[in-house]
Amino acid sequence: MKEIDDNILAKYLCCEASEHEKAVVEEWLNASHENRAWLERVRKSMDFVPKHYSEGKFDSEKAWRQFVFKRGYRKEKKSFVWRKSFVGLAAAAVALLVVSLAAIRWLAEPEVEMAEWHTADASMTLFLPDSTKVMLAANSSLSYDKKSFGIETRSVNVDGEAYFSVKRDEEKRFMVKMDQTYVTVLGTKFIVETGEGQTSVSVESGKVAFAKNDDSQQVTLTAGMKAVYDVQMQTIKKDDDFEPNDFAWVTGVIVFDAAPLKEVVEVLEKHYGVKLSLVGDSSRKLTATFNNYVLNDILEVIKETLDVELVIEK
Amino acid sequence: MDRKPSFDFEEQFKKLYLPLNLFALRIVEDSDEAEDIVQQCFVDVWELICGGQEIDSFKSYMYMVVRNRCLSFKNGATFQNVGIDECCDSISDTSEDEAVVLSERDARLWRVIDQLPQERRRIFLMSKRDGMKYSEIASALGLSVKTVENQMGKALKSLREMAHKIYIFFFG
Repeated sequence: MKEIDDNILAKYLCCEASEHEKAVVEEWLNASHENRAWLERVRKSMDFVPKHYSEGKFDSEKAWRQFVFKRGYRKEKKSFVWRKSFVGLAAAAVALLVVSLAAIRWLAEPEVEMAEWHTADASMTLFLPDSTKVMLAANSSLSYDKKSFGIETRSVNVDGEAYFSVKRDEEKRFMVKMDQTYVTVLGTKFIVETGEGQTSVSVESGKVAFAKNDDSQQVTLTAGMKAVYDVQMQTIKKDDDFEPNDFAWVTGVIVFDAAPLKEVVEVLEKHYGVKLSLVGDSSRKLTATFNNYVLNDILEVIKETLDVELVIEK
Repeated sequence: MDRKPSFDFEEQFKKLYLPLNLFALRIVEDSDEAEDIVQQCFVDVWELICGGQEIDSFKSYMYMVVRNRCLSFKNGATFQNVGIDECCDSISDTSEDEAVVLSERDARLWRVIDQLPQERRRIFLMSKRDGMKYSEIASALGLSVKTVENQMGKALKSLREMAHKIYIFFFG
């Protein structure tokens, strides 16, 4: 490329060039096809990219972290740790789950035949007759009527926390009924959680309608959104603070982004079902991704990096 | 979720992420929508791969999936849950390669902007994004017009150097 003054070329591209400068650029353009082709290419991008540019947008590293948390993608070298903890989990599940598949006759509706699952202190995965996958968190229950499930709708009841990956079927809506609210979907992935005084719905992909039982209020949620029903206020509110760790118990991936240690403790306590006490400077913040780690390894990492000790209370 | 792809999915993801977003942006003209679409496409394709689907050329496959999803989004279809198998019969457009090359070029400019020193980037965006004249930028920032001119010249130089490096890489 024959040399040309960058300032003049920039002015030319910004329509700031004087007549003399324009002539200089024209001469440069005429000197070689390549120069002209280059300028045309630059102009195409230049008229488009800066208009949409915003700092930190389209960050592939950040997007990859989100993808990992969504999909639970892990590299082979981690799989050993994962298997170990999985075997432990499975054993715990076998030992501690109270799985009852009971037929209950309801007084008013003798045709109802309920299938029920209850978990104790480990989560379990189950498949519904339509091949929808459900992960039921610890201390949660799920039930549905075997006779009516899949006839007109697919309806289940949940108390506690459950992750659904719903098989798509546009003919038959999938419904999750909770105490005072319900969720309807066609085919998507989401979590419902009923708790003290509130019920929340977090959507991983697809579209979900979250409503009060009397249909006096309804919100539509799409991927990455969360809504909370407040039992006392009796209202549903969209919650902008979608917590990446809401899905941690499903994917095994825990993400901290400059998280205060207080939050770290809360997340780990919930995820691993333990009580932790903190020794050291509690004002430190943690940024890390733990992909299917065992708790002791995480505590070790925190100790090494932040010089703060988290102790499991017996 | 048993199968692992035979290539480095992470590497491909990071390499294609920005150009795919700019490719989608050229179609849907909204950066948030573009990013949503691209992310969802990666998730879908990942699930296909895990389900055992063989994909010959990952790059062109991703561009095709993103394009189809963008088009169905633009046509007003709810793009949620539009299955990949349902929308992949339409690989024909000969200008497709051109669009891919253009997106890669857009991505290079994006990266150049990303790497400009803060002040220079600010001036560059005021000019090319906000359409301000040199004299307007100068008075808005309390600088001389000559400084704005120099900063713009240096920004362009970064772009030319980038282009030059790529030229050397391919033909040098």
